[in-house]
Amino acid sequence: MPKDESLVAGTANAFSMSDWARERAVTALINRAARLADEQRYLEWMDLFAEDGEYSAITHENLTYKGLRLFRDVGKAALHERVAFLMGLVQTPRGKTVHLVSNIEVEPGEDPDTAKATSNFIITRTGELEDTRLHAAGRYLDRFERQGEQWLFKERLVVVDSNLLPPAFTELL
Amino acid sequence: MGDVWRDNSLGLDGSRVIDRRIYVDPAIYAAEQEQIFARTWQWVAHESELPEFGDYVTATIAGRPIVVSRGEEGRISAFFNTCTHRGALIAPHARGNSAGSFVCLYHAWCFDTEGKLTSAPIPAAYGDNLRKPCYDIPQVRCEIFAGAIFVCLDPAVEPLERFLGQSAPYIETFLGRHQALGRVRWVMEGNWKLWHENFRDNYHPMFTHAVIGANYQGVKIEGVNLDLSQGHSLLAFPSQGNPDQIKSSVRRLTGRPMAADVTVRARPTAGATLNHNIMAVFPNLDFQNSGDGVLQNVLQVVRPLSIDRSVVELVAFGEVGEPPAVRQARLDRCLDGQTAAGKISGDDNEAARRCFAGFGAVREVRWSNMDRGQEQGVQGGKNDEYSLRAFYSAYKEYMAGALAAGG
Repeated sequence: MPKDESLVAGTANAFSMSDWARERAVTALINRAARLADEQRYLEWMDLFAEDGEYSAITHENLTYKGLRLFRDVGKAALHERVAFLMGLVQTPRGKTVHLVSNIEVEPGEDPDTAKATSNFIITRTGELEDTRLHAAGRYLDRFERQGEQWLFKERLVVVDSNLLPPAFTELL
Repeated sequence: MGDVWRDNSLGLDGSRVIDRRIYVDPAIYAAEQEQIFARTWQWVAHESELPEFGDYVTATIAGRPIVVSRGEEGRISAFFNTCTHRGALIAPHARGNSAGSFVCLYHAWCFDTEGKLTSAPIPAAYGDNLRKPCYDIPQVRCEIFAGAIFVCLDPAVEPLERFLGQSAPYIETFLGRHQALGRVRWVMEGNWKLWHENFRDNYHPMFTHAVIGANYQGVKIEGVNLDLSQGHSLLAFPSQGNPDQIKSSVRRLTGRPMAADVTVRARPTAGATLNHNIMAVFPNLDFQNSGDGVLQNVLQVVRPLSIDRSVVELVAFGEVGEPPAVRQARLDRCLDGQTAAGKISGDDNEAARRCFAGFGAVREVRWSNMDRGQEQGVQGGKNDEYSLRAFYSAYKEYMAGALAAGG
């Protein structure tokens, strides 16, 4: 019965082994994306996305207004262009970032091979001869899909809290 | 008398150099506030950002807090954003709605949508001394052109449309029948003029911007660089480049070929029409409008926070009534190159930062070259500097007197 199903879905008792495996895999994927971004291993970061995966960012201000995004890369070609941009960027000192991701909540998707998650992030950035500064804070809204044994990003929307972006805001979020 | 910059070490006419002291001298910076920002029409908002009764936006011009408010019968008015009682801001948000009454949080004095005092609580304690009209908030001149709301602190300045001069028809094209889709703002580490100058400089893109440098490889650069007089200027150029160049550029930068079965997002190839426009309106407003599918229609305004730190605010626009798919494409991609996160502006931020750091040697290296384009008249090639010279010609007029000090 629908009522019972919804009740069961929300209880810890119903947290099956497959739920646990999915949550573990998706959480690992989120953490890996953070680490690869910090290590500036852009191609490997890109490989965490599905072929038609998308990566976009928006300020919270515009998320709640008309939906004007900072950028929206849809598909591997667009992601590859972003990676090329990051690898050819005319910017020194290149900042070293630290991504801290927390409050990860994973939910099942429409079928067993999909999932979605929300999480919070804080990113610090340290430039050459500079102290460490708060770079960004916000929320990841992610969707995932499983291809064989591998979970991949289907969509990552980065919601940035800041209403006044720092001058260099080109690093992966 | 001659040009204030005539005695320069580059052996050039004073109209073709920039004295770097204008970026770093505190006295010049202070003079800019009163002689430029307080004496020019300043863009603050687009009408579509205040669609309802009571809607308001706030801005700070030459240090003065200003509120622009929509009131009775749709009228837009501007006044200082300060309670006439003790000074608190009456409109606290960047964008908000007053519901028809601005109520000061401190002692609850109330002002209508045009800044007139409507009530002060518990007035008996003032006896007969509270002369209400004395406490109406002074108005700020406010005029609208093509939906763009400008304010001006100086009552003696010419009307808006005359101030806009030859830039006006372009603003009509860019903003008429358009609506604002949102704003993004970011910090620029440097003097405000560096950002505005960048819109008048088209010598840099092929060198500064790795992602579009490929567009120009082996291409004869077309387009014009035009002084529109009164300090305004226009760059107009066709789409140029070849999508295949993007693929090879991506491969070169990443060491990995782009997947063969995907098509690079279409980049327009050569065209005869000058359908890309970058227009600069004196002293701190810029428009970028691109045709043939790029769907870019943005304006940017740069305002100084201090001599060495500025805020750039961008507003994106879409056409009223455009098809949903077009609107969505704009919302998704029109900022791809823009803002501090943009593939193009990201580089420009860095260029401005490096220039400003380089100005530390201003005593030893005082003059910058602004000499590109030797044809007489107001127009040259895209990479020339008629636009830059247009800015500094007006700048020197506004700043008369303030630039000569210190020799």
